Amino acid sequence: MDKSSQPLQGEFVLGKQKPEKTLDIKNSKKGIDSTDPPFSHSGDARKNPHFYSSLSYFPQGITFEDQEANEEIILLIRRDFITNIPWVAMSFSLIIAPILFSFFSDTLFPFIQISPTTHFLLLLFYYLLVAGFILVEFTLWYFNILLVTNMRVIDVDIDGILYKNIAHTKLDLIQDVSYTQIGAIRSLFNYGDILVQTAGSLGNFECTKAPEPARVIKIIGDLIGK
Amino acid sequence: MQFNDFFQSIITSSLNQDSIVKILLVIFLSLYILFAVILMVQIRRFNAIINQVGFSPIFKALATGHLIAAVVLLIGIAIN
Repeated sequence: MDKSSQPLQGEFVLGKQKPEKTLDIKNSKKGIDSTDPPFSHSGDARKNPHFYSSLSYFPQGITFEDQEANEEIILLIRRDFITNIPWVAMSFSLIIAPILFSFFSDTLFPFIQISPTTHFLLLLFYYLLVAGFILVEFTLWYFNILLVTNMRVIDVDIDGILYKNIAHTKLDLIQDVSYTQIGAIRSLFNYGDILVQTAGSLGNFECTKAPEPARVIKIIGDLIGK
Repeated sequence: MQFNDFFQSIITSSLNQDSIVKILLVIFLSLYILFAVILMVQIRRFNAIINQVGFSPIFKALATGHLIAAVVLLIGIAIN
């Protein structure tokens, strides 16, 4: 084969285009690269997130109420998992408390004399209360979510079992996004409060104790074109 | 004075203490079952809002199991 007919090879050939990184088709104009997960430790990109994931990038297997056909979740943000430590520690304390208490019960309450069966039923009721406490605390963490889709931002706030507030706004109406990270613990574990400001009379969205806030606001900033 | 005697008799008699603890357990457990029902309903509603395919059924089952455990415990106390 004639050498002149072969295409030129080499690093500095003029006019040679580098292969572009594969961008997600739906989000190419928004500048989000789904092949390059932007989160270092707590994020799960393009896969089914665990039930304990506090930050997921393009989470699969998650749907929400009123989701439109062409609407895709880009970010799922919960409070950082480290913020669960107080209630987890409390739960462990409550679980082992009866074991410790049993050593001193005769000394502390000598006048209480109940049958072993009733004592056992009382203990079961106590552990049922502990199970209820764990279930409630986990529920409050699990369902307090900020969802960022390719169309809007959805804020699900649950405060107590009987209170829920769901708000959403279109991406076009977001004016600014910022975060605050105050204190040693937050800096150490890299979480902070994200504030999404919307136009006019629409309320602001706040996601407290969100993991990796700098990266999150960068992604939201890219989505709104800032 | 009679009121005082009533409490005195409760404290001194182990049989009465046992009965009173069981009565209190039934009352508190009945209230707790109401709470467990509300919790189960709310968890189901929340899962309808945000549905995670792999975990939502487990979560609902945990909430239902919690309610069933409370009912079984109430029955257990009633039998004893």
